[in-house]
Parts: sequence; structure tokens; C-alpha cells
Amino acid sequence: MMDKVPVVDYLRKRLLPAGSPMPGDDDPLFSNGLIDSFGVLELIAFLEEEYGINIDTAKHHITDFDTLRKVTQVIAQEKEGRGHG
Amino acid sequence: LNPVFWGLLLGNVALNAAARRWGRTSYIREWVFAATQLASLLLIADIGWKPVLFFVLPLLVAVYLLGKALALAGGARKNRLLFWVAVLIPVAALAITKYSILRVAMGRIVSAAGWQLAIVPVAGLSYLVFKSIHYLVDVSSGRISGPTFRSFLGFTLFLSTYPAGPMDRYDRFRKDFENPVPLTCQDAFEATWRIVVGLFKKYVLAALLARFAFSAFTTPELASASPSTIWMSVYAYALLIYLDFSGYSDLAIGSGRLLGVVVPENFRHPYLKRNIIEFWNAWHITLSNWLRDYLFMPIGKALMKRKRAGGSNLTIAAASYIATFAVAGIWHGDGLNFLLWGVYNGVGLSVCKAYGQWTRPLPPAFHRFMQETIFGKGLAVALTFHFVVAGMVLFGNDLTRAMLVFRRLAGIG
Repeated sequence: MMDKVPVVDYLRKRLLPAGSPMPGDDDPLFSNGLIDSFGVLELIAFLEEEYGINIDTAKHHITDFDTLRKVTQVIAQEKEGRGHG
Repeated sequence: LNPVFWGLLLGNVALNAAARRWGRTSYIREWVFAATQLASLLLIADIGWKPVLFFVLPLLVAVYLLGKALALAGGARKNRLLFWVAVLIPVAALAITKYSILRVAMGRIVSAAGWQLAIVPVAGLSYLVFKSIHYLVDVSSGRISGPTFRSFLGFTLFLSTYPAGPMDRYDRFRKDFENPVPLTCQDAFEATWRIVVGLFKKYVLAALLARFAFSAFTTPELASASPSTIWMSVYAYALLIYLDFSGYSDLAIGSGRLLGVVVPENFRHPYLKRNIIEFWNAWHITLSNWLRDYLFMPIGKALMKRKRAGGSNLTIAAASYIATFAVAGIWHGDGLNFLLWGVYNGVGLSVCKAYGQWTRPLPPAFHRFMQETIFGKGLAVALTFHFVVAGMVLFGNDLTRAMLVFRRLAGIG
């Protein structure tokens, strides 16, 4: 199971407004305006650095980063892809 | 209100309903759909059969085949040259026909070669080119697999959305193309009602506003009208643009539904948004999403990769917003005012992003006040609306006249 703590920390410290409640695993981040499209890019840059993966934005739609669960799925897919590659 | 369009639409609905009912295979049904879209465009005088037959169709064949070749070659990563050639062909086709400087230059080359060929703007080409780029990028990345020419033709030439969107995505459109959404009596009623609403917005409400909205934009009246009259006229113009375009989108969505295609929504109460980022997520949504996915994200991602340690994300955000909207401005039209309108919006988005960053550490009470109280929300909506309206002055006028409108709005001159 993917460790999502670093992602949660990053969202709380860098992207979400101060004091806002942490979204649940399936709560929308982008589609309800909690983070904007550049926030998604910042999140992608963080994920690449933190998890040592390369996320190709041409292959992933922005909605792939819309919830914590989806973000962890992308991380898992990319790690797996790298492992097979 | 072109009777030919409505005749074609009805013919389209009847033919495709018959094809769904009696077409022996999905292959026949799909070709009937694609062919009726092409035939409809050939019959619309405003578009003209010659540009469609001798320019649009060959261009689409080229884009489709280049997409196939890209997929076979393993995508853009493995064959960058092929990818850029494929993207540049539709972009060059648009540039040569849309921008007067290039049109004149190309006209000279053509006549020097001894050919009798008039280079004219082609209706709907701007959207066609963005759809082509989306197709090429997504085929190349593997997001679109196994495209068929009939579905590509149906997607690009779809009568309901051909002139000005909403701009669907190939993979989403293809689902409806291959399995048209069944049309119950209730659906048919709702689709027809949507068309009626669209007609009312576009041809009644917008038309009523038109005389007043444009009165301050004509030179004699602009010089003599009071600032308050010009303010009202500019507000009316903003309302008119919304009614006209969202009315047109209603027509596209309603007529698309009659043909078994669920066309994506294009507007979500844009004038009630609290900042310019929210506004662009609610105005001409399908174009905004295209700009986000095919310009903003790749530009931002590339700049993020090149960021030096300690570099500012805000600078990258600003560069990405301004570059994206500068392209959006140039895409909208041939004139410096369009480029400036794009840069203006890019700067507005950057300021909005910076504001979000700067206010993020402020106490929760500040955010609650701005987001939950009538005063906070009202202030944000009013500021956003006026920012958009000022942009529309740039969008709707050449630069000299826009400056004159701004001066008159401020009571100068």
C-alpha cells in the first residue's frame, strides 16, 4: 500500500489554504477548486522528486490527480511502470 | 436563423435515425453519420463547398494519416520530427488563411507561381486545428488508440459544433459516435427546449441588447456620450457576448443531443465567479480545458523541470499563464488587440495565483470572510466581473478605439 503521508503533508503545507480541513481519500481536490491547475503541476513536481518517478502530463489527464486515492494510484502505476521498464 | 442549417439539421436527424433503425452494421451507421456531417458542411453557403472539399478535407486526411503514422512510430517521444511536422501542418494551414499578413504573402507566392488561387479565411478552421492538435497529441501519447477515419471525420466535422465548439474530445465523442445515446421522448423534448432557450438568448435577448451595447463603440456616439452611458454600454456588451455565445452553445448541445451525441457543457455561471481562475474554468469551458491540457500544462511542466534550486514557482506560473493566453489571444483573431487581450488575461491569472499564495498563510478567519460572507463574495465577484469586462473592451475593439473607450470610461477626453 502506497504511503500517502508525504502527499498529505505537501498538500497541507504548500497548497491548501491555512486551517482548511484535510480532504478525504475520495474528496475532489481540483474539480471543486481546492487546488488550481498550476497547483496540480506543483503537486506533480513534488511527486516526481519525492517518489523518484517521471510523470508525463501528455499521458495523464488532470483528473488523474483529482483525489488522494487517484494520486496514490498514479504513483503506484508510475513506480510499477519504471520497474517493468 | 439560417433555414438551410435547420433543414440540414432535420435531414441529419432523420437520416441518422433511419441509419440506426435499418443500418445493418455499425460500420454503415457510422459512415452515414460521417457522410451526413460532410454533406451538411458542403451545403452551407456561409462555409462554402470549395474550402471544405479542397482545403478542409485534404487537411483532415493528412492529420488522420499523420496520427496513424505517429502511433505506428511509437509516439512523439520516439519520433519528435514526425510529431512536430504533424502539428505544424494544421497550424500553418490556419496561420496562412487566418492572418492577413501571411495571407497576402502567400497570395503573392501563389500568383508568382502562376496559379489562380484565392486564399481566404476558412470558417470553423480555428476549432478544427485545435481538435487536430488534440488528436495528434493524444494518439501520440497513447491516450487515443485505434482511431478510425469515419469517427475522426464525424468528430471534426460534426455539424452541431463545427463553427465554434463546444470543443469535444475525440475519445469522448467516439463513445457516442459508436453507440449513439438513445433518444427518448423526454430527451427529445429537453433537447428541443435547449434549442429554444438558445434561440431566445441569441436572437431575442442578445439582439435586444445589441443596439445599446454597441452604441458606445461607434465613434460619433463614443465621443459625445457621458461616462455613465459608456459604462452601461460596456456592461450591456458583456451581457450580450455571454447571451450570444452561451445561446449558441445551447443550440449546439440541443442539436447534438438529437443526433445521439452528448456535447459537453460550455458555460457555468461565469459572471458569478470569485476570481479569474474560476472564471476561466466556467467560460467557454471546452476551450479553457483545451488550453490547460495542451498548452498550459506542457509549458508549466517544461519550465518546472528547468527550474533552478530556489527558483520561484510564481514566476513559472506567470510565464505559463501569459504564454498560454497570448496564444489564445492570437488564435482568437488577427489584430494586436487580441494578443493584448491574451496577455492581459495571463497577467490577471498570475496576479490571482500570487494573491492565493500570499494570502494562504493568513488566519482561517480571513478565508472564511472572503469565501463565506456576502460582502467578501460580492467584492470578489464584482472585481472579477470588472476585470473581465475591461478585457472585453480590448477584445471587441481595435487598439485605438479600445484606448478611447478606456479614456471615456474614466471620464477623460
